[in-house]
Amino acid sequence: MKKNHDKCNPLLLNRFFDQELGPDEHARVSKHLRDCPSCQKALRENQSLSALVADNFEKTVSGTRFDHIEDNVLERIRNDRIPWQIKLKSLFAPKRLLIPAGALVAIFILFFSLVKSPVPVSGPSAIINSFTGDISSVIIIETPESRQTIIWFNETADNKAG
Amino acid sequence: MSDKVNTDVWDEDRLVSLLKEGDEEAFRVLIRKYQTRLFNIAYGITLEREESLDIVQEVFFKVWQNIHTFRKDSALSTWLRRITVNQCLNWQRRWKRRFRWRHQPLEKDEWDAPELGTDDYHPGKLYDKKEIEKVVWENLNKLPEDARTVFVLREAEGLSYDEIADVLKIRRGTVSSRLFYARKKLKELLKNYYF
Amino acid sequence: MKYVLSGRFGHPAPVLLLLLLILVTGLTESAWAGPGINIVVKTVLASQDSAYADPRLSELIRELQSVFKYSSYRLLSQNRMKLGMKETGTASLPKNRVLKITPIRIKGERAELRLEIFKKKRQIFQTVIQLLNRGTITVGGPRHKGGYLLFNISNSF
Ligand SMILES: [Zn+2]
Repeated sequence: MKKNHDKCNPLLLNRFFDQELGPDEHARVSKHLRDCPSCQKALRENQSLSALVADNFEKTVSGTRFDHIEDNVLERIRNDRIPWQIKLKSLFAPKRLLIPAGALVAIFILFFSLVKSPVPVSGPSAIINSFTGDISSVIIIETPESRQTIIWFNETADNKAG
Repeated sequence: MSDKVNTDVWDEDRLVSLLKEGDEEAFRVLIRKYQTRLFNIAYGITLEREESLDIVQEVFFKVWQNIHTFRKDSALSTWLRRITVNQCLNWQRRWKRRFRWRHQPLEKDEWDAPELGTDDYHPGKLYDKKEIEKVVWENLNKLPEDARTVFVLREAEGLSYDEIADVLKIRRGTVSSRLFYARKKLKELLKNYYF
Repeated sequence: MKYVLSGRFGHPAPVLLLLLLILVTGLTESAWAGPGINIVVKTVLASQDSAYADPRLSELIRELQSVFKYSSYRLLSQNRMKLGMKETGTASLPKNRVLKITPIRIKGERAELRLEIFKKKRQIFQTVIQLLNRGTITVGGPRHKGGYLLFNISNSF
């Protein structure tokens, strides 16, 4: 394979394939390719890999329904326009740290409790005032339909002795 | 609601300024223009269809919340891709531990053993398309996250090295080497199936 | 948190004033302590095992399925308790874990509850929540038998 010319350079070949070489390098690799079967093979493999992956993406996209994205996003946007509809979302708390916003949340709770409409009470099933723990992360989720609150925490790694 | 919106007539500057005003029609245009492209990125990284759809929605919502911070020092598409990649990586971190069992079977043992079609396993066999499709995704999943992300941006989005570097905020040389690694690895893994 | 607040508040000043007002009026009401609160704690094992939906959990499962992707939900235990204010109830959970629940007060449609999870006397976490009357909250996270434990807590008063 390596005769009187440049050695094979797979990294360079890869950039050649992606058309990311300057004119000089490009010419050099082209010249090398002419009589290097192994680089030719590598290039063909890149091409089939590319085609295969592109084909896969195409199939996945064509088998996916996107129509609800627009509706969902626009609905969220509309909801978001209402300022007091505060939604707690995936709140990551560092280890052993009281979420400083607790106090703030409390204010909103008072707000919610005062606006006690006799008709169905809006807002999530539970409002989190504070949260402390020996945990690595916590997510607060609200189920989309009836707004039930879920707290999901990851404990810090177990020390077996404890 | 479903009437056709021509996404091409909106030039980026106009789109961005309307987005900043909170114009709903502009969001509609943005979503139609980018949803499948962002989905490809998300799917390439997470390999979860439903999650990817959620991630794409989340990206558009983030755009709504943060469009006022968007400066014109990079293209809107770069910004969108960057948010998408970040959302995917957050998702990976958050969920991978929780759903580890789903990734486990794909990781090692099953692959090496030729039990895939037990009695009709021959190296030279032509695998049917469905199977190849599945195998490609499974092997993509075996790549390290950073290599896979670069590969997906290149192959699904056709981005140049510079564009990828811009989205991921890494050096061009890193793009080149990760891409090289990803292809090398995938070719090895897919050898029996395709090449 | 900055992220949550970066929403679209038109005019911060009136909003703040309003909140202050609410705070003041809210305080007069907050010391009220009612009778007892009925609490039910369901301990559930969620996993990716072969599909199983405990019929006693059907409502909860429907709710959780919109968020999680588990295929199996099993009810491991159920504790009922009636607690007065500042009275602590305990539910034993698998793997040496204990859940302690203490009602603090009732305010309008919500009960303020302190939830603590201990693991062999070590407190893993503590949270104070405002739970809607006849509302439920699910706390999850600990790994158990190839799945995850969920504690579904509901109250009524
Ligand atoms: Zn060569």
